[in-house]
Amino acid sequence: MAKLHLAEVTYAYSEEPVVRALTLSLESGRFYGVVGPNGAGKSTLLKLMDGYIRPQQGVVYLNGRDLRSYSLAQLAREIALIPQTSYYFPFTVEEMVLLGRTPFYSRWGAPSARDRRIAQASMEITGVAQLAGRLVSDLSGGERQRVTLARAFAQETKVLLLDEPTNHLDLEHQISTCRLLKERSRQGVTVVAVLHDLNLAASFCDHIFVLDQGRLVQEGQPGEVFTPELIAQVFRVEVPTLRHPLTGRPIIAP
Amino acid sequence: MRRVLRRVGGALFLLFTAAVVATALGSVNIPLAHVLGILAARLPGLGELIEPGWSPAHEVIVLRVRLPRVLLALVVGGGLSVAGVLFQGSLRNPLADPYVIGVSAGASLGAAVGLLLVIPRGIVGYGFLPLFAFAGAVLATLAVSRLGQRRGRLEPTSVLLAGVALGAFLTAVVSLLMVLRIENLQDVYLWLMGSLSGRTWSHVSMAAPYVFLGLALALWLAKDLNVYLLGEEAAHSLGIDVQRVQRLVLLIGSLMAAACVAVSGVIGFVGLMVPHALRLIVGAEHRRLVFHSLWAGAVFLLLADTLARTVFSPLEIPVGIITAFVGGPFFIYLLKRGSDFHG
Amino acid sequence: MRKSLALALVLVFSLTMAAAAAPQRIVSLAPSITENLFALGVGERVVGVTSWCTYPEEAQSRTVVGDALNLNLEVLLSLEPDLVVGDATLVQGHLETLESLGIPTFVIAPSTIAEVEASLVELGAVVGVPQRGEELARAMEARLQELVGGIERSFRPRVWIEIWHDPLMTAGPGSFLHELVELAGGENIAGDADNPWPVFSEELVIERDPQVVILTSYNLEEALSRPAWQATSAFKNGHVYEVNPDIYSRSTPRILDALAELIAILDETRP
Repeated sequence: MAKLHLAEVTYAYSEEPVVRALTLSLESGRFYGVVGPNGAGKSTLLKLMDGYIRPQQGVVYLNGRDLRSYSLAQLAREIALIPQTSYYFPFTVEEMVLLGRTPFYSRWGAPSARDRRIAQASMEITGVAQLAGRLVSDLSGGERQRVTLARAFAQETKVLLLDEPTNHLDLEHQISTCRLLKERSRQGVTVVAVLHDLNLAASFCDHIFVLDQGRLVQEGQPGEVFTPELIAQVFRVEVPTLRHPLTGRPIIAP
Repeated sequence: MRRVLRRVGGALFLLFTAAVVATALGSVNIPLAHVLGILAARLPGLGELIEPGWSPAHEVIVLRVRLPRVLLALVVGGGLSVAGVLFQGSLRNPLADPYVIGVSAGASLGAAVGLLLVIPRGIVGYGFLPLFAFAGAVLATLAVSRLGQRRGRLEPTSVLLAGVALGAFLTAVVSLLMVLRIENLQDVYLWLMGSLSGRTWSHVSMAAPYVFLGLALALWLAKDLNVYLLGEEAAHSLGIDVQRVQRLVLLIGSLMAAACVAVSGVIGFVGLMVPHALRLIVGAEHRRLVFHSLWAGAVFLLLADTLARTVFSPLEIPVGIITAFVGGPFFIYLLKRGSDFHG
Repeated sequence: MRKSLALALVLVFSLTMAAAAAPQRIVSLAPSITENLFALGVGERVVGVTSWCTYPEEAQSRTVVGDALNLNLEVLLSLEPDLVVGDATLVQGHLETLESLGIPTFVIAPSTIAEVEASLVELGAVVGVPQRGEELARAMEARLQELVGGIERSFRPRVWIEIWHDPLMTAGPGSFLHELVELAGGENIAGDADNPWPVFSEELVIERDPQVVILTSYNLEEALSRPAWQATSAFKNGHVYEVNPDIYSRSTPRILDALAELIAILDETRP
């Protein structure tokens, strides 16, 4: 059974549909990449998957159940979403990561020892453990991004959605983030990342969804999807592709 | 838990001491021993043991002029500060103050209508003034939250803009009323400056319930507010009902601010400076922030008001002027320090 | 109607007061009230005044409890007053507070000369010297009649009374200045206004062409420099006068000094 399944989903913010009759399935333990030109509906797709917005037509299924039948609290334990833009207030890194445990302790309570252990582990995985006492508002863009990732990891959900997680990162961190996400997926998590860098998607993702003007234009393994013909059609630019000598994956080489 | 109790106990002790000291100060020199005696004499049990060695006039001054004023300063100072925390959180803007969504403009219009059109005609007495102000504040806030909605959702930027727009409009109406009814100008002018002078126990009993209730609700919502600060999508993803938090926080904040403005006029800067400064010191975690803003705001306003009524004694300066005196340099300091927030 | 109601209240009040003995520690919240209390001969029973109470000089030795805007309740209470007298237009909000603290208050708010005379009678009754109050009122009326009797009624100059320059405020019906001007034989060009402190435009003043201009904010130089006003009769004939506003607004017997001054001014402007 698919972890997440979208059936003929359509959504419009006002008049024009941003996403049209989208049908796709996601399995556990895979790293999915969502690519497409600007305005293709990629962010909207993630928001639909996480239940932040509801489709006007079609249904989103999680574990075989309509997403709408889940309560907010239940959803928070199943799906974590990292949006494109974040606000950074004077929380310490540790406080910020602990916010990821919010669905797991009560309003008047405090994070438990277990919550703290999980937060600590997440900080170590993302390499921000040594920043634990620093204020998030004092960190660099890249460091903040990793703290946000740690928070999402701490939420320990089976589905992890990320909207352009590599945006403000330098090369070293772009790659380490993608490695982490792949690692995560190997532990059974369904990871879906909107990526603007096609090469990153090609190198790390198991499966690619190509969106254009709200429709699913192509899906498949990177090798099948990233052909010069598709890139020309969707991204309206002529570039050749090469084959990576070691991994066999495609390289888009302008 | 022990740590929480210690903190709360410490704050209560500080507030209690500050209140007693402030009650001992004033235009008329009353020895501290007498003040303590007058206060203690009200306590059941202990009261019978105390021999009154002070004049009845002094007793009246302490119990009916100073004490309600001191308590009101604590209540209003704490209330405005907590309201400020709530507004800065729900609008995700550390420069918001509790008046930003129309509370002060609405209250001013309500007060102006009362002071210029209704009370001079003898329809009701001055005791009704807080009710006029409160009604004005609530109506203005409702209007602003209606205007600040986009597609049924409250959007912080829209709310801020609507607040500024409506605020400007209502202030213009107040000015117009003042020009047309120029003979009662000074009443409105005094009210607009914000003052605790001449306030009685009825003012305290009007504002205190809203402030206490608001405080309880603010602590109840603190956890949600922490997450809400991350952004709407992130908050939703962590299980927070974003719209509900927004509406509740604005509602609670507005009621608290409205109750404070209704009894004391427009005292500026407290609701902006105290939460802002405390956030820089104790961080953005809301349970901590609300708690510290409460006692810090209470003490701050008490200090300002005590200065206001003693520094040029027997002349009393409206406390709003003192808070403004502190407000200006505070912002210059912030400017020098550089901004701490990034969007 | 208001007058008879007030007198009835005073009667009840003074009967109560008589039963309780006349007040011995009086606080006055307005300069005119202070002046009247001293005129009534009860000056030594006045324990508290405002910072504006400068007449008679003896009043300045009393404890200051505030000014028109601010009332220091602590100081007032420490004087242990048994009566606080206020002028309704100045301290209304404070009076309610005083009542809630259990202090007897009394309010007088005369806005015509007749009401000033009545207020002297009322105040006299309230503080326990009713005969003196009546004497003062009678003396005032007598002087009024004397002043007004000698006025040449055929000559009624148009008068512009300027309270303030910006906004251009004048005195209308219901204010002392208006009444004084009319009693002095002048015609207030703002006499058709519907409130005591109307705001006029420059155009309207010039259109109504005042023959006499009375300034009350010591701005003679500024006024004389106004270009548009040079065309008015008053400016052309040099009938622009500056007066001390204090004596024109005190609801005390000295307001008749103001009347005398006005009569003299208008006399001067007779062609």
